[in-house]
Amino acid sequence: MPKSLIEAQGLCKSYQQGAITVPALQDVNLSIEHGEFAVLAGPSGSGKTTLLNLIGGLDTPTKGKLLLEGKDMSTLSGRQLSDLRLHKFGFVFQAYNLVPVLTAYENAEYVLLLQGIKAEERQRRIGEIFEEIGLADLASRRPSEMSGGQQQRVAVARAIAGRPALVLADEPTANLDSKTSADLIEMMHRLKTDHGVTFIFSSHDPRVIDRAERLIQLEDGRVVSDEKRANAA
Amino acid sequence: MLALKLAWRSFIRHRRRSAITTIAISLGFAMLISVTGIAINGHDRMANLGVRLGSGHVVVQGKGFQQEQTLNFLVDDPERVEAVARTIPDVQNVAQRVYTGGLISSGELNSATMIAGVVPDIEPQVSDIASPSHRTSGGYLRPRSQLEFNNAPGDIYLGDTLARTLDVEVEDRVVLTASPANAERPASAAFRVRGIFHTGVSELDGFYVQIALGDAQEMLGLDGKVTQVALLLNDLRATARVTKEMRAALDDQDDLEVLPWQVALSELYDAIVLDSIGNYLLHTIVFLIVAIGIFNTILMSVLERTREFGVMIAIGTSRQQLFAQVIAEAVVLAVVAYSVGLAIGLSLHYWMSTTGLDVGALYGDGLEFAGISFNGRIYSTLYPAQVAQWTAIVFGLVILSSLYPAFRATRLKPVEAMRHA
Ligand SMILES: Nc1ncnc2c1ncn2[C@@H]1O[C@H](COP(=O)(O)OP(=O)(O)OP(=O)(O)O)[C@@H](O)[C@H]1O
Ligand SMILES: [Mg+2]
Repeated sequence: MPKSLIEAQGLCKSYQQGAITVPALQDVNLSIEHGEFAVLAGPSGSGKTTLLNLIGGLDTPTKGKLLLEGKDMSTLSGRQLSDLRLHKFGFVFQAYNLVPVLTAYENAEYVLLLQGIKAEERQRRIGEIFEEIGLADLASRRPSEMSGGQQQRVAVARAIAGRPALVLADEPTANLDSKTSADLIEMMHRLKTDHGVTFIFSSHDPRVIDRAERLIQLEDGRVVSDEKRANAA
Repeated sequence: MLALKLAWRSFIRHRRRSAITTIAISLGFAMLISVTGIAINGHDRMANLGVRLGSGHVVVQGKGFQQEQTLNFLVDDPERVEAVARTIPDVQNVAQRVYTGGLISSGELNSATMIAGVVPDIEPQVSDIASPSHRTSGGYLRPRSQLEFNNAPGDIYLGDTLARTLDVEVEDRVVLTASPANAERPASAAFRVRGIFHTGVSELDGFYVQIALGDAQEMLGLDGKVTQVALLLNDLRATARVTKEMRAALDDQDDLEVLPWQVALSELYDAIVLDSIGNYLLHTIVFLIVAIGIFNTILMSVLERTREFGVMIAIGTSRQQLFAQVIAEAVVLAVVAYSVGLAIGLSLHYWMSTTGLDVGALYGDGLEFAGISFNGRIYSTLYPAQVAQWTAIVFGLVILSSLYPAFRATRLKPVEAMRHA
């Protein structure tokens, strides 16, 4: 049986706030398969960001295990986690995702530079992606010269340019109007279909949630429902 | 090189901050270059003047002479010392001299004096006192063989202040009195004023006289011995090396001392050192400006970009890369600021070393320093080694002062950093 891309076993995370322990995630069991397009939904404070951070190796669980293709992520060193984030994962955050001094093109190129990919190949890949997601005309703009939606598209381009297995997006549409959000989700879905990239993103925007193939609902740090929706997107 | 590229971008983008830091550092550095250039030039001039008016770059004396300054300490075989000296590279000329204290009188008037017995043919080549540029009247000493008759009074060459004290002019007669070596009674001899000099050094102009070496040896009963063999070099900076080589060559003679001008003219040297301390203070201030400027700018830039760095770590930038990134930003800042400072400083230096600054116009009679007056213009001198040393210090400081900000950046936890709006 092929291993799941991500498997969470009894995952717990709590934060210490002075004397009080705030439980952010409680006993989360979950597996994500290759090629999924999953949405984490739930009210504010339900633990969506916390879960994405744990999966992305940006934070460590208080209890429980996270397996990446069967390998326990807690056994990895800081350096290995950093490598993992560079090569296996792509990230899109809610806002202010980009390096402000670099152009759109250079922001997407950054990850490829870190990966040590040759100039020609970098140019080819980014050219393709930019073409595909309608950024070709914006390549030389800086983040401050782009709209929020355009910036998020660049962030998505950067997230997939390094050919990750998994893209983690934390409320990528939170700062966008609904039309722009729908376009962005549409675009991510297309990338998923064409490139076979797995996507997990969080959102509490119903229109975005509608596009999910799998909807995982969180409440108070627990998974309260998890359904596949074949007809979506 | 990604780090450098990003650093350059960051420099350009934060124009205001970069400009302020650049201006502070580059002006400080430009000031450092020009002030030091002037100081070095002044010191070299003082040393050269001292060396050319007095001792020479390196002197060989009877061991103990420097301390006691009496005729009990002599160079017994000056010809040998001279022969040795002439084989050493960079030795331009060699002068044998006799120095002793004495009394000079003309009729009722008299004065204490420093008597120098010098070789009339050699001295004009090694000492500026003997050169026409410093002569106010008359001519220079002649060897005894050129005098009108064999036992005529010898020539004497003295300073203008002393001439006024004694109320003498060229052709007037004076009498020198001094204690010979190994003799109870002072000896006296008559001399005729041959020429009068002016150097601007009050001790020389007021108390120093020159007579022919042979006359001095005869009057003082020295029998071919001298108190000093002075070496004049092609280059002030060869002093240490020639001193060492002379010491080695005269190793077998432990009755001699070989001294560089810094020791022989210790008062002058001390004055130079004292003046240098002020200059070092300036160095320290400028280097502090560099260090604090860089530290402040880079730390601010790191703290300001917490979120940006958080994102960079999150997407796979390693801590080493981030560290290098911050250091690179400091280096870029420093390279720009340093280059601008160097360009301004060297331009000033170039102007100061060619045209010079007219201090006569600023100070009227010129500046006097350590008994030496600087008339006319001051110039600037820099040695490449000095500039190289600054470069090394600046870049060392830049790296040092960016270590902490760089370290701060690598300590960021991506999750927390990204919560930082
Ligand atoms: N660093 C922290 N320190 C203390 N408590 C925290 C910290 N981060 C998150 N929490 C708490 O953990 C819980 C889950 O937070 P999380 O950010 O994962 O929620 P979320 O579902 O992403 O919410 P939102 O929709 O508002 O982004 C919340 O109660 C939150 O207050
Ligand atoms: Mg959140």
